[in-house]
Amino acid sequence: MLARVASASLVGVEGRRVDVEVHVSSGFPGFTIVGLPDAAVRESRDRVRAALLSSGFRWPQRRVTVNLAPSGVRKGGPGLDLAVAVGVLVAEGEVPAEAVADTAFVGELGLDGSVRAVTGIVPMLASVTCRRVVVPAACAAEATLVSGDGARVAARLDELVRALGGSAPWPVATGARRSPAPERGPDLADVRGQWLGRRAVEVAAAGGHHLLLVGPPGSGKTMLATRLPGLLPPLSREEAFDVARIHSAAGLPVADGGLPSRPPLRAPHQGTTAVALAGGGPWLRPGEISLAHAGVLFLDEMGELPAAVLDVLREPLEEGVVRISRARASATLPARFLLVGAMNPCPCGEGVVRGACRCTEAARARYGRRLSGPLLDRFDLAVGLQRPDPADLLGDAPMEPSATVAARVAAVRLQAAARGVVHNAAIPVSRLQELAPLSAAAAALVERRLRSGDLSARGLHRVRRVARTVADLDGRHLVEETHVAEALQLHAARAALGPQVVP
Amino acid sequence: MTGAAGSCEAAAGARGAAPLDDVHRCAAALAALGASPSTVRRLLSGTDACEAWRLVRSGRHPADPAGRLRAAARPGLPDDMGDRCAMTGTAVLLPGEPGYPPVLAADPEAPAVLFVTGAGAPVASTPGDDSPRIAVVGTRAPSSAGVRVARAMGAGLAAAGVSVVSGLARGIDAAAHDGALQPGGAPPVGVLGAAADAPLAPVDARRRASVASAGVLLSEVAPGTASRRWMFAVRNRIMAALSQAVVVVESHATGGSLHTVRAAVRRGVPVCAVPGSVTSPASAGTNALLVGGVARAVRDAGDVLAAVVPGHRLPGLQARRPGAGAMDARSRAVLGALGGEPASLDRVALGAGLGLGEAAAVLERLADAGLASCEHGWWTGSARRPPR
Ligand SMILES: [Zn+2]
Repeated sequence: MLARVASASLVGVEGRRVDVEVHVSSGFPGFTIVGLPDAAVRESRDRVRAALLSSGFRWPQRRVTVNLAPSGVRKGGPGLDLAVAVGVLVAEGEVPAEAVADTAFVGELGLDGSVRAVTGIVPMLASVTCRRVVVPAACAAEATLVSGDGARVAARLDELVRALGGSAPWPVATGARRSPAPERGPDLADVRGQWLGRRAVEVAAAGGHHLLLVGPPGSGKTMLATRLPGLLPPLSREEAFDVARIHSAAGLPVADGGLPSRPPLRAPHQGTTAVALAGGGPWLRPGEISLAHAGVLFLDEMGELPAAVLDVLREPLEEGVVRISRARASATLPARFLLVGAMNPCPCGEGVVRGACRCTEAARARYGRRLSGPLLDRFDLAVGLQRPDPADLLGDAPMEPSATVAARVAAVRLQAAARGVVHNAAIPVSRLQELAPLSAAAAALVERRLRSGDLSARGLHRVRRVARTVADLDGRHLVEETHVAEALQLHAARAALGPQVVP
Repeated sequence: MTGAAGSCEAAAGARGAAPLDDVHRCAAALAALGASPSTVRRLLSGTDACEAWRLVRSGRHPADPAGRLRAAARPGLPDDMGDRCAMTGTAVLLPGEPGYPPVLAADPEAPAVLFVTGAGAPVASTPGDDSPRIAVVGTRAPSSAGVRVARAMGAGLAAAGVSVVSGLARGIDAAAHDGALQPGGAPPVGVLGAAADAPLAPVDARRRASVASAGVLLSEVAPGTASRRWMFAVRNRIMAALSQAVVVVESHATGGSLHTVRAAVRRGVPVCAVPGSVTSPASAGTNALLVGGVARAVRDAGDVLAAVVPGHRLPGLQARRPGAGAMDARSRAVLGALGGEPASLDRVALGAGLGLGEAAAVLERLADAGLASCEHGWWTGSARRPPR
């Protein structure tokens, strides 16, 4: 007796459809799984058998062979348990074969017959084309996201069998089908004073420019960075699905009631490792940089991160993806994020300019070298911050709220799209002349800075892109002297990080 | 060569004559260690030169706690310096000593040890230190018109009794001194960025010798010391501090003469510039000074004298500093918002009542004019600003 049940496995953030074929034949009793299973799948034999028995079913006293198709692809994780168990029950005649037609099963079984949550429901279900999917009850929200009305949940195996047989109703998928709650993060109106910092996050959001904040502890670096996602345009449907897929694959909770709309903010702590950042593990789980996809990656105390950790950023910053590999698998995960780095101007945090620094010159020089030139070059914006003036903190002048700034940002993003670029930071060098024309005075300023050596050729491209964004925020087509001057100032803190700055 | 160094014979008399005493031999040796002017100043502050030398030798000088200068401080150096100064006819002067120009001694960045070579009186003679001195500087790569203007400028000023101060570089500097080296002209002052006996091409060496014999050569670089690039930049402050005005004849957009202009602006010394064709690169820097309102336009020595030393007297000069009227309201507002403390762009913009971009553009222009400077995004004004 042969049964065939649809399921899926997960590699990286990609689901793969797996067909579970169960063959029960006469012969010496045994249970074999073939088709490149990994260790977790092989363990599924014991879980499935125990779950069946504790749910009140017999285990066939015959030979059970499970084939996972397609056979050339490695399959991993416990998510196939449910499909194997259902396949055995179909082969044994406990469940009618018609009941599992056009239905996919994903879930882990407990020894007591409970159906347990697995990670990656979103990408896994996206890879199967069945009309109906059955997932653990805890995964209802994720399943509804992908499969809508076709999502069914199961909390226990016996309950599932009764529902499949039609002798009991399907359990209600809780939490599904609610309208998305408005997602609100911290508001920019809370940041008092800090006009330069506020402007820097606005320009970063508007142009997609990576931002480095340099300032002593207490100068509001984290406060500004955490408000950046709230300035970005809401996620497009495609981005939202990517975010849901990645977060699901990482086992992060997916919000009830629909795709996320607010760009994610990820702020890995200082002790983070290269693997935690890039992703990895046996099944190539996404790391922080992929979790920040379509959103903001905030790296605080960037100067304290080991070089190996910082090195992880290179590929995603260049290509928008990260490639990770393990012994027998590799995956390319999306990782297109807006990077916000924060660091102190020097080890003691006070910085030289205001004369409060207690560091030796050698210690300062070492600190400045912590970030490599190529990495520093990725920051279009580098802004120095100071602790806010008490007068600003106590003042009651209303500060501009996030919504107002976000409206300006959205207009600039639309303009960039009309020019055929994702955002201004992505304007190719070959199109700068056309897309960021300089006024005579602006060109003269740029030329003076090039001649004085304050600006390199590479710096010129950066300044033009940022000036493009500043001009867009100003509602001007022609890039004026004020826009270039502001763009230069929005990068001025770079020079604080050691003399090796200009490549 | 100490107390007697009050007059021109002092420098001239040093030629192969009066040997240096211990204090001056040690001071010369400290200056010969290759340390920066500010380090030499710290080495000698509050300490007798002999004691300072002893401390440096032992590696325990508070201004050199790491003992970095110790290697260069070989025991025979003071005696060698004594011989070398005697051989080259160089006097060693410390601030406050007779012959050391008082106006220079009063400068916050005064050379701690000044090497004076030559016969001339302009620096050493007048106790009141009000003999007129005007610096004429400019690019090493001038236009031929620029050379003519500089030579005429030097000649005109010298004929009017004004000592021409210049750096003895090729180009405008050389032309100005060539003009000043005329019979009956006021004695020229050459401020060197290298040792007075540094090797030069024959034509430059001849000019240096002429200036030394008609006037005087000043340097803070000890005889026999190898030239370093930074020495040429730091000597510009000496020219500015020594002069009652700085005239730039031609300068490229980023020329070294702009160092001298900055040093002058910081000290409140008026700056004049000769306007040039707007298409001439050699006049880009000078024209920018004029457009920025930093310098007053002059065509010749007559204009310079009319502008900065009416009646060839110094008082009254301060009131006529150029720039005040030429600056627009926004520049004045930004300058007013700049304090001595470094300020971030948003603070300056707030103080000036301007937007960030506007303030940034004005600051960039002020920086080009030498009236503001930016370090890592922190802005400071120059020490002295034109009155508002
Ligand atoms: Zn420090």
